[in-house]
Amino acid sequence: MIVLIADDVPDNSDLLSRLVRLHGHDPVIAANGVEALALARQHRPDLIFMDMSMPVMSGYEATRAIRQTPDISETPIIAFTAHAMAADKEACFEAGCDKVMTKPIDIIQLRELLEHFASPGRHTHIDPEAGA
Amino acid sequence: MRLTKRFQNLSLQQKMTLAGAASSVLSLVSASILFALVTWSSVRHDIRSQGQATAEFLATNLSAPLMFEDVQSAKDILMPLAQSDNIVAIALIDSGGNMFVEYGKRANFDYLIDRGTDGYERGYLFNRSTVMAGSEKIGEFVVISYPAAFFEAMRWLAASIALILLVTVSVAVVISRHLAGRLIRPVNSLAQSMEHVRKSGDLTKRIDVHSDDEVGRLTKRYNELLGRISENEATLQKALDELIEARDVAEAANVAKSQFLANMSHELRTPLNSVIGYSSLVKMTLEGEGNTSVVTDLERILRSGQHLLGLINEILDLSKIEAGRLELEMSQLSIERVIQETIATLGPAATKNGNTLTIADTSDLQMIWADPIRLRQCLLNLLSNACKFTDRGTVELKVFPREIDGVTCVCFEVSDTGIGMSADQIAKLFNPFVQADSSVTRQFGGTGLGLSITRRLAQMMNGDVLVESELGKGSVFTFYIPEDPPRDSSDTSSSSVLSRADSSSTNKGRAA
Repeated sequence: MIVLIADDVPDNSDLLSRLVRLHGHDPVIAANGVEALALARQHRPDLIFMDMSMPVMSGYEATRAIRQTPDISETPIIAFTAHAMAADKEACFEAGCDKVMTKPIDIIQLRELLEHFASPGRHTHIDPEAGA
Repeated sequence: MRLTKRFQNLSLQQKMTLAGAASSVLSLVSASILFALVTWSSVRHDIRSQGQATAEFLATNLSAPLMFEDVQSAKDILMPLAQSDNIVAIALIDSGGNMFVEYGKRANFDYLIDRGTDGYERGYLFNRSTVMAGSEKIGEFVVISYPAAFFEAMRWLAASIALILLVTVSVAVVISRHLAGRLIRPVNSLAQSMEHVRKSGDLTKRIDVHSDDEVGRLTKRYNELLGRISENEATLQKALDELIEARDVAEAANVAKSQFLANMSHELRTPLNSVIGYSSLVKMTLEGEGNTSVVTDLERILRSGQHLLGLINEILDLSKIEAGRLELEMSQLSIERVIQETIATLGPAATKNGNTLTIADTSDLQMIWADPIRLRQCLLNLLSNACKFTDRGTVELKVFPREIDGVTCVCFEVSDTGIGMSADQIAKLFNPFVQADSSVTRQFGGTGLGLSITRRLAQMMNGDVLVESELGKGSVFTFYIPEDPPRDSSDTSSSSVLSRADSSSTNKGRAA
């Protein structure tokens, strides 16, 4: 599946894209919210990893914009953030994210997420629990 | 008794008026009585003297008629007297005791005349005179009169005294009232000022002092007292202001600290992402290629990264607890499952030091009301501490119910046969950033935050952590929380019910 990765820190997007490729998926990289929105329209990804604090357009704004864009509004979005407070997570869900994954990355959690969203029939149930 | 009470209930001004009026009335009445007595006695004496003079004058004139037994002359002499209004009776008696001439109702007074009465008797005045011929007594002459002038004089006297009393007493009352009012006025202004201070707390107003008497001095002292009180109040207010300012500064500092810790947590997580992420990536890649020569080294990097993450999480937890921003997600949990999950997370750390970990049978215990993540965190902390500070010994977890302060609690007792602690070390144990000994940090690692977080979490779940330990003989930590949710139907418990409903379904609460 096509996985869109939006993160302004090159190390983060590089790492995530390589891990995604290692699991057999095709990563697309965006450096900010504007690019993420454009690439989402262009590639219609199956899953999006969204860093929430990015320049130009934040992950919150990009998520809201995607949720209002026809054809891609249903795309699963996973917030990937270093903000670990409960209130921060709540803000991610309010913006329209399906799950929250906190930095630093948990390899096991990532594998489970990729497996979950790659499996057929996943759209019947979206579990918002992203683990703590 | 009742009168005393009524007197006590009078106002001070009424009491002073009464006292002033009473003393003047008393002196006036006694003076009047004395005056009346003196007047009465002198008038009485004067009237008797007058009558006596008349009787003696007539007695001289009656000497000849009596000597010559000339009744007609005697009657002529006595006629003018007999006709005067006040004369009741007249009797002229010869030396033989026979009635020579008489007027009026002489017979009514016979026995008094016979008895020789002279002076006042039964409201009448008796004037008795001897009739002489040369030096020989030839008869007796008695005039009985009604002393109307005396009674008239007495009536006037009484009327005048009554009038004088009335006027003077009225004047005395008016003057007393006025004087008492003047005396009471400063007392009243004192009372008013006190009432004003009591009601408004305003200490700025002072009372004018007009006199140097007792009340004046009292007023002066009162003014000074007000000054002292307002000085003290100003000092107190200043101290209070300083305290409030200090508190605000401290609170602001605490908020800043929490904010700083939250920011730091964010900033530290970003590089950790690369450390953990890339070492995982490289490890996975190498394992995929079958190249395992550096995997052990990579696992060391990964473990250190995870350890660092654990420390950051502890610091963040404590800052959240201190800032009051840690929210619990309470729900009904299976005790057995919580323990299983905790042991699974503890993993190989349990037996790393050659320890034996035993879990007492918990099958008779069913459910507990707790935040699953936080309860696991607490148990994990106690168990990993026990394993960390014990070498080739035993670590035991026992779970049992116990009544604490009238509430049924579930106790999780973690005992070990490790290094133990002294009383001093126990006293400092739950303070954040304090480990039993700073050398402990070097030897065993850790932030020293774990136990204080565990205890704060226990307290947030209405429980606590107890500790018993002896140096060299191991430690027993007992973590307990109530078995059931609090029974009152306040907002917090209803939201707990909601979160329980959430977590019992497949979707657990989002903000875990």
